[in-house]
Amino acid sequence: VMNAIMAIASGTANYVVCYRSLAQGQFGRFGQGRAGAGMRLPGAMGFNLPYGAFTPAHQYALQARRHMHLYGTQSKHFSMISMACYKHASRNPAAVMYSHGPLSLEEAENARMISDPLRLFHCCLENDGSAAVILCSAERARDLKHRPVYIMSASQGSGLRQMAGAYNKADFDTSNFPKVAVDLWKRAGITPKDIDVAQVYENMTPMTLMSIEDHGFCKKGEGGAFVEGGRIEWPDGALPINTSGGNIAECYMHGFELVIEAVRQMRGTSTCQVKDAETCLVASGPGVSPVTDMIVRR
Amino acid sequence: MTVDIIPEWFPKDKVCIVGYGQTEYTPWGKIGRPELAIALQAIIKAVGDAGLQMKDIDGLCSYSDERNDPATLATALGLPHLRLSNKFWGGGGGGGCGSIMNSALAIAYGYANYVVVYHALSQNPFGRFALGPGTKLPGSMPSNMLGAVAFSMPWGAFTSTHQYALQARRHMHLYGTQSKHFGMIASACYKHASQNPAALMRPHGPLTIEEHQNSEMIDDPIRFCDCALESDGAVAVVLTSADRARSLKQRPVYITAASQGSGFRQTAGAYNKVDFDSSNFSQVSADLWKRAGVTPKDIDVVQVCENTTPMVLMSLEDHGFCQRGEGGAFVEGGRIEGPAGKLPVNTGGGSIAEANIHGFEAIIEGIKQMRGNSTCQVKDAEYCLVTGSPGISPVSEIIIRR
Repeated sequence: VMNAIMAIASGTANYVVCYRSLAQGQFGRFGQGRAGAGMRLPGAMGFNLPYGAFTPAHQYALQARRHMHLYGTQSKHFSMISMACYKHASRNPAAVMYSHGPLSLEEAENARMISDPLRLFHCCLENDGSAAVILCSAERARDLKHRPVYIMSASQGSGLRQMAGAYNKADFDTSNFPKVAVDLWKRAGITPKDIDVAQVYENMTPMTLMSIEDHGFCKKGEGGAFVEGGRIEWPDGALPINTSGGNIAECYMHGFELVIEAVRQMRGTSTCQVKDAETCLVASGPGVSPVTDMIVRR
Repeated sequence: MTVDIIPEWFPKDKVCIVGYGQTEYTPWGKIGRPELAIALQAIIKAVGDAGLQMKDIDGLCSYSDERNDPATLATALGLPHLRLSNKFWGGGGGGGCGSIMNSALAIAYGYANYVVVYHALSQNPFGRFALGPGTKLPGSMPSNMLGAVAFSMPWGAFTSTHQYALQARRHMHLYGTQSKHFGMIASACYKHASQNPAALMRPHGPLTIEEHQNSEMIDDPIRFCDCALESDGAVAVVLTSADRARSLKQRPVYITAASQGSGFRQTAGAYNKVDFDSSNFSQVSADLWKRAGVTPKDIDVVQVCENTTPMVLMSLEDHGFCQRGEGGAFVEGGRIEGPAGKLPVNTGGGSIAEANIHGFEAIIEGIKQMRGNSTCQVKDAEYCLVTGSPGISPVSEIIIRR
């Protein structure tokens, strides 16, 4: 979306489609560990592959455990994020987990371990599908049929040495959003308390918790307390997140379903519509490099 | 009713190239160092040429098949804050200018302050670029392929040269273009290379048309001397805003316009794409001229990444330097030879005779022309057109100026 913005604002292009499509039956399951004779791997992976650490889940498990150690965050906090997603998905007929209904804390905490401390429901789904949005200038948008959704700001990038996973990257228990979010807020001219609803990408829910902290919705280390007590749940929470179910319960379209849900919230057509929502933050994949985020408004 | 609401191309003249760096160029597979290492070496040189500190860099951008991603480079370089991680998508060797364009847009809009655009090729061990399938060598295409190629591969047409050969033959059929015209383009490249110490074909000296006509047929009518080299090397440039450029040590080179994209159904090669004898630059260059506010006759020198010389000829036509079909006559009589021809092309030797870094060698030579230190300097050159490879989709290009 950010690339499209600069193309449209400059007059380089008029109507830009941003899209994502996945048909994993055709090309293979996304995110698997490396395999296959003759494959060449970056040298850094020599420090983790031999020890069985070769998927994102392994990497995020280590970061989650670090966060738990430093701040007393618990598995139940990771589960509360998943529970919010399932609650929202249970109202969204398009959600892959719609028929599951709400997720209880007991079910989440007893689900099978994927990579300690990550359990099944802490991990995003795996889906096929495709999603697309169309962007154009604000002037052109006024002539079109839907209520336009404005992009207030967008940001991308990375902090220091965030690809040095095997080399003791300095900032370890991080979503990699701290510096990127500073630019986001500055460009928007608003602060976290002006955000009415947020779509926060879950690769795994501990990373979502860190993303919430690193965007400044609460202090670093206080993410656990932040997600307690229904604060992130529609309709009564102070900051509902992932209101169509997110990567955890709607579908995992690499965060593009989150972009679409942000559009629905601003149009007023979400199945968990936040009343009078004026602004929505969308944070894409945490814990990778680079990361990206944006804020949309009515 | 919709109209073109934005009359002027916002980034025009707001962004400059302020530094460049390169490793040596070698034949493919011969540079003897890892691709990550040579990318880093080129970037370090470019940042030094700009007179900046590495920690100033907050953007990295490349194109198509580049294997060094920005996050890994940023980590290796110790960049404290990366603000732009961008890649021009598609187009094989055609995207170098597109990555300059993306970076210029980003800088103009304040996404990032100092952006490095780079490309690195170390084809051993990654494998020879653009091999056909089934050779079981690293780099050859996988065994599952797009359905469309079922209409070309079974007949032995599986590299881009095969495609260009068909387009070249069409052009010869429609307009009477001859192989010697392709040779004139190659000959100009070798002439320029013979003055350029960095050029891989410098020891060869000038190329005669006779030698061109006797060179091995690769894919009728495309001969050995019509084809780009296969090279290793890494190149990087540094971009920043015009305001910031003024306080840096090198003469700034302004990006005055850029364009990218494609005409209609240009990847339908097997499906009878409508505009067949085309470089795919017609519509893309229409945008370029409009944004630049100049016309072909304002251009003093051209750098184009040749995949093959027939496509360069078509590109000159599609840009409006001459009419469609008149490219043969246009390249006769030394018109494209530097330093004094009417429109010198590839004054460093191009990818035919200097090196093939997928169009980045063309960008560097353009910068040299604008700084005034090319080995084949066009006197008082003010505007240089730099294009990526023609005949693919998408294509990309820029106009730079002093």
